[in-house]
Amino acid sequence: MTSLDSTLIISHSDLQQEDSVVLNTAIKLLSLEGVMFRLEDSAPEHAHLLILDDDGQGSRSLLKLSRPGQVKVILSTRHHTGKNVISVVKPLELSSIKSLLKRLFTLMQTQIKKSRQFAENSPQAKPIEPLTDTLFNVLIDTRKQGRVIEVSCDDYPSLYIDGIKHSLATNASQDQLRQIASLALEQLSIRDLSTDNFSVHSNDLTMISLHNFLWSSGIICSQGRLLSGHSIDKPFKLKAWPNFTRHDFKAEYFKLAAILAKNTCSINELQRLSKIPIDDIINFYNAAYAVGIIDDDSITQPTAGSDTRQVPAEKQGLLSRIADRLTLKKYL
Amino acid sequence: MQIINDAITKLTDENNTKSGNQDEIINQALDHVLKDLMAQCENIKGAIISSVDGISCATALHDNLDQNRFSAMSSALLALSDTLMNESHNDLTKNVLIEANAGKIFIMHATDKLLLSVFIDEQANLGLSLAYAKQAIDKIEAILSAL
Amino acid sequence: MDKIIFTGPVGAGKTTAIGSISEIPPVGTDVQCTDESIEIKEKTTVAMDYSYITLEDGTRIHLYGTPGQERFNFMWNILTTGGIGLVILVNKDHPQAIDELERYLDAFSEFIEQTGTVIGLTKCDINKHSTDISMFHECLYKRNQIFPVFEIDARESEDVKTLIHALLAVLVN
Repeated sequence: MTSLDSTLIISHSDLQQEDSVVLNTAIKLLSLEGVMFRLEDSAPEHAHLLILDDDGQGSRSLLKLSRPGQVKVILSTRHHTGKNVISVVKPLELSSIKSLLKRLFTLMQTQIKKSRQFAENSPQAKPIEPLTDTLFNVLIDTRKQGRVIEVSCDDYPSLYIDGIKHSLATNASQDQLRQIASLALEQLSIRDLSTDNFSVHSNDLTMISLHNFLWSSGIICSQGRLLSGHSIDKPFKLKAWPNFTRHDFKAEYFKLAAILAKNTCSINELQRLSKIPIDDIINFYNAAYAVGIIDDDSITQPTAGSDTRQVPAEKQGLLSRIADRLTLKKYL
Repeated sequence: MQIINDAITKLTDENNTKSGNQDEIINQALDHVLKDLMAQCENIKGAIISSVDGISCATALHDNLDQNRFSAMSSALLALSDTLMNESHNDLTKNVLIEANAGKIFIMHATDKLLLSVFIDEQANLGLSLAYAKQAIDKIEAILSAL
Repeated sequence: MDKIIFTGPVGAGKTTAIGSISEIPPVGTDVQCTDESIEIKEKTTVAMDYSYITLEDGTRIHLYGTPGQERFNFMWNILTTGGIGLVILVNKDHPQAIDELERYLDAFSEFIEQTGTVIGLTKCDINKHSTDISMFHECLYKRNQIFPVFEIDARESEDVKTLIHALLAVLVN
């Protein structure tokens, strides 16, 4: 629907002059109350509302052009019925058309708001961009190709990464590691090391699991962009839960993991099932893929929704109150 | 206590020749204590000495009772009872008494490492049975302190 | 009665984990160890550990810990009756840690089927060469039981709370 933010468009046809005056007056009076309509003669397919006179020839052709969801107000001497059809007896009365329009305005605005929210949340709302040129991509390649690299930048301690042994040696704190992951690739200098060089550099440094850094850089770098070669329509499952006590996480990730541990579904279906923003699901997916817990090999049929265990509302309430009581500090 | 000391001396002498397994000596001495207890009163139908963490050390039971399971249950009951007593009276349990129509069971501490559970039938005199059990506990204490 | 049950082998940290999130000093039934457990610790739970947390509306969530030794398995049924979920703690450093986990998954299979479970791996920092978390993942994958497995420090309330959050997610979804 094309409209100014909260103005609804009325297209009309074959109105008698006195009805047209009444309608115009009603619209003007309503505008004083903040109820905004605009009358248009053309482009009836874009209108929210059609007002037709039953007696006019033009009305019949307009009716044929109307979309199924459009609301039609038919002025007639007799009563009309039908889906989305409101019958109004001629001649038009100012107070009745005004109150009818006001009621329709409220109803339709709610409807529009809902469909906008749905569109915003639905995966089709925006194209999914590929995730490229981030430290996360470099880390994945390092592990895949079994490389040994040094990542350095001016303000932080260097990272020495062994893609064969899956280890990371550094003096950087957890917070610094997060900050490094959020830097643009241009701000980092990356060079290959020999295994011997790695041993020399990593001596005296803290060794941490590359997994944990892969996970957190996946969450930080992704920003709703999907790893290239992956699809939001391909069904998958989790082979294992992420090790949340050692990973960064959002509250929503518990729900995603719980669903994916039992069901096979695509990112798209997961979004519909969980009502969690698709960006968060993609971030979770990328990180889970990087730490090797995505299972999409043996999957043929999606099973989303096949787990039929329904938790009674009363118990759900209790469980969410327990979660409230045990608030975690470490959410992202 | 002379009998006990004699028993220990005898057992120790016997076992010294074979590697002197202290646990075995204790267990045999404890078996004697239970036999004596059963012989004292015909209404005592069975008894177990177990460790506080529920491992059976000596038994005088009828066959169809699983001594290991019973030891674990006794220790759980006595530990719960101790916790209850400690929370309410800041004290330890003297005995846990379970009564049913067919008979009674009582569980008591016997030193800080062991406990004694005794089964008596419906005709048994509870006071007398408890007194016999107390004597048995004295013997158990003597065995442990003699080592 | 709404209760969460903590179970697992001797020395996995059940009593400690309950203590780290509970509001009161937990009620225990600790006695001196006389069996092989004495190599791990001096005292052991023989009946149960008990504590609770209170929700905003006053509801109490009771936390029960089972004894670890198999000979106390009669307590397992008693304690799980009416429970809302199970936390299994396993000492990651134990040479047969995977077998230990499977033993508890099997022993509590009926309760897990009806409710849900999460697995906490304790004592992760003691030995670098202890069983890798991926081995636990593999074991669960083979059993087709994709339960949460987290490395935890039973003394850290944040870790134990994370386990409970995962348990709640398993129970709701």
